[in-house]
Parts: sequence; C-alpha cells; structure tokens
Amino acid sequence: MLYLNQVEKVYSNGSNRIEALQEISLKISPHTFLAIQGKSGSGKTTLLNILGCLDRPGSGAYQIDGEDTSLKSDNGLAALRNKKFGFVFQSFNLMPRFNALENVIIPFLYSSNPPGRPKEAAQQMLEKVGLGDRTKHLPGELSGGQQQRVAIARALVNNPDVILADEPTGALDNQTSQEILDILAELNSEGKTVIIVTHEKDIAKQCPYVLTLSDGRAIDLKQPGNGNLSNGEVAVL
Amino acid sequence: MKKSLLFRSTLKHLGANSLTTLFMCVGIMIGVAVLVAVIALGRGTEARILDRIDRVGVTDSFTIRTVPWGLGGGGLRDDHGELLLSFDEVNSLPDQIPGIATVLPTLNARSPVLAGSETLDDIAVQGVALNFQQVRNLNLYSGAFFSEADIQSGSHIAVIGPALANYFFPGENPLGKLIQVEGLQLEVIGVLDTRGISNSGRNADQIVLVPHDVFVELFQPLGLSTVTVTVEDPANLEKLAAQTQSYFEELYPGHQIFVRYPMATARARDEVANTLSFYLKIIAGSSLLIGGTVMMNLTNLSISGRIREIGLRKALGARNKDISGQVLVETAMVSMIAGIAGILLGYLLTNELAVRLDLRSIFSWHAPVAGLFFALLIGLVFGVRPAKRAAKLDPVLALRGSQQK
Ligand SMILES: Nc1ncnc2c1ncn2[C@@H]1O[C@H](COP(=O)(O)OP(=O)(O)OP(=O)(O)O)[C@@H](O)[C@H]1O
Ligand SMILES: [Mg+2]
Repeated sequence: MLYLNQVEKVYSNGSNRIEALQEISLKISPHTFLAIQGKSGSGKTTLLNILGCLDRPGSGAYQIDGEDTSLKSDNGLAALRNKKFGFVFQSFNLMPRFNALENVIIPFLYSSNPPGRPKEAAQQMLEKVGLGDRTKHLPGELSGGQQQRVAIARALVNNPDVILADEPTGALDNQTSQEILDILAELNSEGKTVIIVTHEKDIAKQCPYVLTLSDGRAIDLKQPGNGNLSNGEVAVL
Repeated sequence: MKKSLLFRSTLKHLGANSLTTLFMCVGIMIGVAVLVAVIALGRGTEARILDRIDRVGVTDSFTIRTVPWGLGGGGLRDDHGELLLSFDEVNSLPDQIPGIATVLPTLNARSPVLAGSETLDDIAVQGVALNFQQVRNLNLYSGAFFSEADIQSGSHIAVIGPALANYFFPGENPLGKLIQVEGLQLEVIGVLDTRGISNSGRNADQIVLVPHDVFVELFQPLGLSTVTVTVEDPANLEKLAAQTQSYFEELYPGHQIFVRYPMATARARDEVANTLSFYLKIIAGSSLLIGGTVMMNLTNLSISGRIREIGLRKALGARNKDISGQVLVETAMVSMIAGIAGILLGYLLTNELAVRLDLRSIFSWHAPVAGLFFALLIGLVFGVRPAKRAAKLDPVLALRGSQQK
C-alpha cells in the first residue's frame, strides 16, 4: 500500500515559486494499474519520483506499507528503490556499452542479497519480455521497442512490488506502444502494481484507473475501461 | 560477481575513452618513471660510495697533505727553511690531539720503473711504515707484506701492484724478481690484490711500495708528503680531521693543510648524482601532483558526461558510496595503469641516464613498489573530489540530465 497524505513539492528559484505538487492525498493499494495523465508541467514526473523514493515530499507524508519514508535514511531509500520499485523511462536509459544481459544485471550490483546465479536470473527476465535471443546485443543494435523491453526486464529483475514507468511508450510507434502496454498489463495481472505516466489517450483509456493532474493538483480520478484488469484500488482522499 | 562487473565496466569505460584515459595517465606516468629513476640511481650511487669506501680502506682514517692532491709529492719548507710535516711533528700527533690512535706517514714520489728491458714511466712509488697494510686495508694477491725484520734490516725489497706484475712478468711468478727504481735494484716480495681506479682517478694497481728507509735512500725527500691518521672512534673522524688541520695550520702560519677522508671524498665525487637526484625528486613530485590534478579534472569532466548514467544507477538502488566507490575504482585503475607504464618508462629512463652520466643504477623491488604506491595514492587522493561530487548528484536532476554544481 502506497499512501500519500497532503504531499506538496514546491520549487523556488529566486522570486519564482513553482508548485509542482499541491495537496496530493492518494491511496494506491497493491495490484493496482494506474495511469497518470495531465498537461506538460502538471507534476506527473514529480509525483512518480516521490512515489519511487527518488525524491522526498517537500511537505506532507508518504507511507509505504505503513512505514513513513521521512524516517528513512538516504541509504534506506536507495535500498527501497532497489528492492521495492522498478523504474522504466521514456528514453530507456540503457547503458550503451553493456549488452542486454549486462544491463539487466545492474540492479543486482546494489542488492543486499543478489541471486546466486545472476546471469541466469537476468536471462530469465529477458525471456519473459520476449528477448531471450537478444541477450548479447548492445542497446544500439536493438529497436526502440526491444530496448524498452530490456529496460522492463531490468526493472523486474529484483522482483519489485511496484513498476513505475514515466511515459514508457513516449518514444515508440503505436503498435510497439501497444506491445509494451500489454507486457505491463500482464505484469499487473501477475500481481505487480503498475503506475505509468502517459500523454496518450489511447493508452490511458485502456488503464483501469486514470488520475489527472493539473498544476500539481489531482483533479480527477476515472475508471475508464477494464476494471477487471486490476484487483487493486486507487482512492483520491 | 559485483566486483568483476565493476572492474570490467570500468575497463570498458576507460577503453572507450582511451584518449581521455591517456591524458589522465601521462602526468602520473612521468612522475612514476622519474621516481623509479631517483630510487634506482640513488641506490646505485649509495652502492658505489660504499664500494669506494671499501676500496680505499677503513673509514676510521683521514689523510693530510701539505700540497693539494694531484700536485706531486715531497715536503714543503716554510719561509725560514724549516721542513713542514717533519717526522717528529707527525709522530707526536697522538700526544697533541686526544682521540688520534696512530699516524701513518707516507712518502710519495713518481718515478720510472724498470725490469729487464721494459720501462714504465711515471709510476707512483710510496715509502710506507709497518702498519700501512693494516691501516689501508690492503690484501695481497701473492707473497707477503714487509715484516718488522725487513724494515729493520733496510733490505731493498718492494711490494708491487698487480698491473706492474702483469706488465713486467706476464705469465711468470713475480716473487723474487728484480725491479729497478732510481738506479737501485729491488726484490719483489709481494703483489697486491687489484683495487682498480682510486678516488683521485689514478690506477691504484700501478704502484710500488717500499719500506720507509728505502724510500729515503731512493729519493732523499725533504719531508712527509702524506700522512694517514687513524682515530680511535670513527664517529669523531670529521671532528678530529678538522682539529688536526687547524693544529698544523697554526703551527705553520700562512700555509694551507689539506685534509681528506674517504667518506667525504667518496660522497663529493657523487656531486653529479646528488644534484641530479635533487632535481629528479622535484620533477617526480611535481609530475605526480600535476598528473593528479589533470586526472581529477578529466574525471570531473567525464562525470559531467555521465550524469544520466549516475541518475539511473541511483534509481536502480545505488547508494552514494556505491557511486563514489565506482569513481574511486576508476581513478585507482587509471593511476595503476599509469604506474605500471611509468615503471617501464622508468627503467628506460634510468638506463639512459646511467649511460649518459656515467652513474650506477640498481633495480630492486623498492622502485616498482614505491612507484605503484605513489601512483595509487595520487589516484585515490585526487579521486576523492570527483567521487564526492558524483555521489552528491541529485538523482531526480541527474535523470533529467541536468548539470549540477
Ligand atoms: N528541479 C526543479 N527546479 C525547478 N522547477 C522544477 C524542477 N523540477 C521540476 N520543476 C517544475 O515542476 C513542474 C512539474 O514538473 P514535472 O517534471 O513533474 O512535470 P511533468 O508533468 O512530468 O511534465 P512533462 O509532461 O513535460 O514531463 C514543472 O513546472 C517544472 O518546471
Ligand atoms: Mg515528465
């Protein structure tokens, strides 16, 4: 359970005050599939970063499974990012000089208990996203869709509870976007919480929950489509 | 797994940016090379000094002369016609200056030496006392040194250097053979071990030693040319040498007395090596510092180019110390590569200097160990700032690729 209570994030450079997030109170239960949408600059990435413990709320509280994140040290948050969350980015963010398998292994480097056979675990993840035959390829030798799948395998490799994806299909064509969304939906059906930021209406309307941000505020929560896809629940409080 | 991936990824990164890596290495490499040269040449010089001290004899003795070394022998008269360094004055020295054990008056001359039909010009002839062999630490190749009886009897005998023995009596036993100096026949009773080139640059193996009285008979000298003085405690050598010098200079106002002791001359002869070592140390130190600074700045630059990567690693769970550790592994690896290259370069440099400047060098484990140690030290010390900077990067900003202070 992810629980945000009156979370705010304000940036001020000089006299300029930018309220990136205001009064966000949100409950996201396990196994939820949530899409976050909103105009550019509305605070989507900021919210996702706070949810993934990359950033701390300016004020308000964020609890993960009942634990207050403000009590955690930076190293404690790093451990949470390693174990509890898996990140997927719009620009894939793969290491260009590492092949697919090595990219997937990276989270093990920072894990407190990596598997005994890291290469095999990474290989399994690549097979799961349909890239079992591309393990030795460098990112530059893979298509955009394939690179994003490597990134998803990397996000999954430590078996996190929550997948956080910031516009994961933003750099892909429609058909490839759909393939990536299908993978995420499948992960959700296997029990993962999936939270994606998206601009695309086509993507959003397939998601069980869609939260809309505007000027840093949560202004709307909808359940457009297949509510049956998700066991979880989202509530704007 | 973690470590090998870290090392391999660092090597990959360094290899992919080989030009930057090369620039990072240059300064440290030169510094280590010069450091290796300093150590190898320093040890060579030290060994050469010890060798020389070994060769010139015990180090509890010093030598005084009335004329500088290299300027003939013979005694000097003062303005009133009195002899300087007379036998009596010299022999009373142990009573005048406490701490002096023995005096070894030596008479020097240079003269042609004949044997059979062969002649050698300008050979050093020394008139020596009984204790000469012991004080000068001389070994005999064959035969014997003068005995007390030999000296008492005034027999015409000589001990010769090996170079003379080889020249005059090749393939023969020189013992019992006759040589001729100043018209007098001398019987060879001993041959010295080889000593090579002496401090003053003369061939110490081309020498004829005769008993004191025989020398007087040959050359009728005016006074002593050289006196070797031994002291009771070698620790006082320099002090007693200075005392003796001023003692005689007070005795003969207006005359200069020259004093020399093996360590002093042996060290002075290595002025070149000492000066070189001084400048090499400065070059080594500044190269290492400059190399370290260059490496630090290039590492900072390469971190700026990898801000997204660092943000990503943090998102994947890297702690600050994982990031700083990665940077330090990188700088340590660069500096070790530079260190190894520097050691190889240092060997070449040392050999070049040794040949060109006629110095001795000794390679041992010291130089490479010190080279690697200093390289690693520089790598770690100058890696700290970039490492801290990388670790402090805010992951949110880093993932957006934004440059931070
Ligand atoms: N480090 C920062 N300093 C100042 N302002 C910031 C900073 N980070 C974000 N902002 C501002 O906060 C607001 C929200 O940014 P955020 O990146 O969350 O928007 P977003 O909804 O993800 O936009 P986009 O769809 O363009 O990615 C924006 O106005 C942005 O300019
Ligand atoms: Mg964004």
